[in-house]
Amino acid sequence: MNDTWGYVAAAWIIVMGTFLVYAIVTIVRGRALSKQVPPERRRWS
Amino acid sequence: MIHDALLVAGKDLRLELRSRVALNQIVPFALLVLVLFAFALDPDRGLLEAATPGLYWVAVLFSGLLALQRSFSVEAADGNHDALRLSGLDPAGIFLGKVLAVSVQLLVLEVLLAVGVAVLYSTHLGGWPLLLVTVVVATTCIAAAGTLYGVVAAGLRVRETLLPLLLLPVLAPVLIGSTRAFEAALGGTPSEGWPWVGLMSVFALLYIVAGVLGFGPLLEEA
Amino acid sequence: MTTQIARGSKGVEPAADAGPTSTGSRGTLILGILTLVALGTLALFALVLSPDDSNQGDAVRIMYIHVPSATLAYTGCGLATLGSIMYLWRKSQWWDLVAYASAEIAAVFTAVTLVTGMIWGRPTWGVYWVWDARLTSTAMLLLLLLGYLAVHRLPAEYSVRAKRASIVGLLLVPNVIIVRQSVNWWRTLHQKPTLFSNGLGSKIEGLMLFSLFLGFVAIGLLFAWLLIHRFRLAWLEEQIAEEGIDASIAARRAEAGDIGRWEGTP
Repeated sequence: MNDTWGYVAAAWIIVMGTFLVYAIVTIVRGRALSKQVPPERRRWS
Repeated sequence: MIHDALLVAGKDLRLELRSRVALNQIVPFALLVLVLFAFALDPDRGLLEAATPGLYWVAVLFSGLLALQRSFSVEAADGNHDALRLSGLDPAGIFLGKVLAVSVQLLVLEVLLAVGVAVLYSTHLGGWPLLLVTVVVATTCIAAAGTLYGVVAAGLRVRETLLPLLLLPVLAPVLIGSTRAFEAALGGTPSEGWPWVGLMSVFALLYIVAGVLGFGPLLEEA
Repeated sequence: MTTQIARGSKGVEPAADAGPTSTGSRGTLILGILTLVALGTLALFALVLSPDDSNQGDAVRIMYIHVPSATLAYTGCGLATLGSIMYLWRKSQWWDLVAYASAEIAAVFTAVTLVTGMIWGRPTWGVYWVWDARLTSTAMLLLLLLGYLAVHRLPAEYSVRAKRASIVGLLLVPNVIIVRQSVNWWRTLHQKPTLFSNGLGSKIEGLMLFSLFLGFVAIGLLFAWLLIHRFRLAWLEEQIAEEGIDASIAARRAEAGDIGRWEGTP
């Protein structure tokens, strides 16, 4: 039973970690690119 | 459209007849793949015989990739893309012509590979109607999907790596289907194989329609 | 007068705060908070409050992320196809970028589905991978999505990339359908169907059902939040690419203008 909890923990940590990393990378790149684009063109309109 | 198709097919096939790349390089490659499989799978253990249909179609797929790559490199090399676009030929016709040319080359290849398999793997070929129809339908699938994705990858330096990445996952059902159909034919239970032919026919139809409709827009800036 | 001059010198600075400085907005902030709350609640129910399964034991707790991830991966794929169709039909960049962002997020979710499936499989089946219909189809989905993404990232101008990617994208859903059908036939015709049964038994109920429902809510919100950010990021990427082109055109014009002025100046 404890054994299984190891797998459960691994799965949850890997998944949440992946989502977190992807979210952070996306937001960080978003900020970096926003600086390079003139303000009026930063959002679709 | 049909007239244009035949024109283009004729051009591609004449080109092949003159250069004989398919004959001199792709067919030996295919046979080489068969030999390599024999090295990998040890004929004495019966694996080779059991896996023959699958190995056959894997060899066809890899060789087909080469044939498709060639079909598009020929165009790109001499700037034929622009010539093709400006020639006024119906794009749907160009697509069908290319599919036809590749299909003919593939069919020749498949016949030769069948001989190779019969000889090298001691396969007893039987269940002919199913075998033949499978070959025709699968060839159409490979040629149609291959030509469509070929033009998506055309004119780019990354074409050689992009085309396999796009095409092989798409052709996985064709590999599954044609292998199962061959297994059914060779194993004496053809009734199990015909549903697969049906599935592959749907696939072929999908890609012919997609190609006929999509070739025009794609050719515009290729 | 002095005030005007003072303002004048200040006006030379770029108005850096006139536009958004990131891909975030009030909407995404609210959505993000909701997502975090949902994920937290999911963790609570999935890991603590819900019981373990009679067959799989505690491994079922992985299913509460695995199943929603799979569903959203396929949804993202569907969005990519929809966006591709709309782009080809209406030439709308908005739709193409929706397709691209959806496909990338779907690829991430597909990878998550595969990993959770494998981790679940080890204690349950004893192996990390089986060639059952579901896992195989999901692996194929990942490959198909990677192909689409590769085309969208080609080093070429936008209209070329978008058109070619859209052709690939529009065929994603038909391909997925055909692949699933062929894999299902393949894996069920000669196999006893009970051998590799689905991770969730037919009689899921009570707290387990609720946890699964929470999973869909939380992961669904996460998908939406990621999609908005990724879309805006893709938009920024295209703007920068365009800027590069605009700058070159402007430079060419400036050259031509200079020459004209030079010749025309008395």
